[in-house]
Amino acid sequence: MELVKVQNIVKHFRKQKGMFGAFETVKAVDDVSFSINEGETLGLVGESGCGKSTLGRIIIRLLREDSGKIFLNGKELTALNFNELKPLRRDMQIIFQDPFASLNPRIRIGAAVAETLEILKDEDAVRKAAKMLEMVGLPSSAFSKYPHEFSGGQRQRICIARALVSRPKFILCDEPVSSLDVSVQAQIINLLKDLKDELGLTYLFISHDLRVVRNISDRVAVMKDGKVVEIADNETIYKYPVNAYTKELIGSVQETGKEL
Amino acid sequence: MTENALLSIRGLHTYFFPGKAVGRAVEGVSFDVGSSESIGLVGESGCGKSVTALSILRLVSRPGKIVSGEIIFERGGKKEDMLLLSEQEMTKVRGGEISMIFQEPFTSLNPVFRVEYQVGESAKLHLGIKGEALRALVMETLSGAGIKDAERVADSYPHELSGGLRQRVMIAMALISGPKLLIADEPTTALDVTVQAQILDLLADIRLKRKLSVIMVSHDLGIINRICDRVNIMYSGRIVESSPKKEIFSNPLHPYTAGLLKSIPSLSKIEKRLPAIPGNVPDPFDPPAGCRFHPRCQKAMDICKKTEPGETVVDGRMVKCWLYK
Repeated sequence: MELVKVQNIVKHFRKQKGMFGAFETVKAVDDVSFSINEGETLGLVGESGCGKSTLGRIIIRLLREDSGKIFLNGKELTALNFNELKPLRRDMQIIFQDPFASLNPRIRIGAAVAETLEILKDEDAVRKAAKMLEMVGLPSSAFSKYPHEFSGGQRQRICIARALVSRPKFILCDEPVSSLDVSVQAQIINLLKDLKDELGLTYLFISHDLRVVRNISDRVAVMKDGKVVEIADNETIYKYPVNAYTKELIGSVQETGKEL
Repeated sequence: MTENALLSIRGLHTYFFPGKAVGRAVEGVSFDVGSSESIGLVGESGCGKSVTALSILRLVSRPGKIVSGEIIFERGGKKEDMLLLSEQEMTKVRGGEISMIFQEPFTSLNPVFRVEYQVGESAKLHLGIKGEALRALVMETLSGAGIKDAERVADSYPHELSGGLRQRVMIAMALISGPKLLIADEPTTALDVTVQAQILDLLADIRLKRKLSVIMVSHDLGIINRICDRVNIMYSGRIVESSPKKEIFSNPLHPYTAGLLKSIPSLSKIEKRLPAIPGNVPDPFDPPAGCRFHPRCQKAMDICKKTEPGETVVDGRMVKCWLYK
């Protein structure tokens, strides 16, 4: 069943060339359509500036589109105003790239995770937050600590707990492992996979790392200059890429001997 | 020490002293770089790979300090310890005999000078050429770094160039005075994969053409595989394994090397669970006792917790692990 549907989304930004130069239009997202099935992980790959993050943010309503429609569970999100969207926000959450920038240094971990539920007027917020922290593999002592007491990998676990505590259906993972060391990156990928199975989540996994996307996705979409140039099954796209750009991307990955 | 080594580092210790704490960033690192050999320094963040690279050029700034060790470099037929050179002599070495490329090409270029001036500066200083001859050399070096319209790029400011072009400019800047050794610190980390592949091709090509020795610092084993002959794996301020490239990828000796290789997702098949290394990279201010890797090592024995292993040579490869004693 379709959980998320993206229909002809367009987003242009106006950019000025120099201080007095003429304005030019950057087509960040240029008529993109696809859908994500329930329980599926869709990998979205592309190089910096291709529009993948802009698209992600439009889907979870952190940015407004110029035109096009977004559906979540059959409901048209693009037709709703700010207040009408509020109750739906608990169903879609985001995990950001940099766990150092996305946690407030002055708020304790427990409070940061419980905050989402408090906004949603959940009376059981504290207990649920503690349980969620345990689920992502943090010790119970983490609850009353501050972000600086944790390493990068642990902080990303905190961000994951914060995203999942409202029990959303859809998670936008925007480069969640790009700033982590390889040995820790593998831990977080495993955690995301486990949580998906346990909680029945659906991911849109944005990354520039083709190895990571290969490992976590069911289907993969390749984006270039605001357009999705190819979308296919994980196995198919990596073994038999059709689009020239997809081929170039996959060909650029440096081998580590694991392929031999 | 190998007789024909261009650079040999012996027992390098670089510590950081912020306030009362002591951060042992590099502790007893030794390795050689032969002429036209390419060495990889691999490790995760905080393992001391960049500090080792900076120590070679004595660029470690306060509160960091090179505490002890020798860095022997062959200059004009003589072997000299760079740690004993005067600051004036060091200026001749930096950019002249040993050059460095940094990770972020944007922050390493000066935004208020044109490319021509910045690339030519080193040649002016080290080779003493100027005017038309200098411009010609700049153009030649820029073209050599794979820049097609060298004229336009030379007249540009850094902000007018793309990331890939900027890194090519950085490479030209490093090469213009004809150094013998090039230190590249994560030269492609900030770039997109397709551009990264181009820059790696360029480096591989230049290395052969100029018979350059290269020290490549990276956390990415794919990049190391592309460029290097020999790989040094660093963990918590030490080299824990040093092997020729082929062998390190097919038969890693140290459990950390093996774990690192396994935790990289494969392109050819999907693994249900990635074999991750448990735990985190150790804090240089509070490293564990014994072998620095033992809290994360699945093969840890009692001795690993108490005593740090020394160097063992296995089939001509160096490893620091009790498994091979």
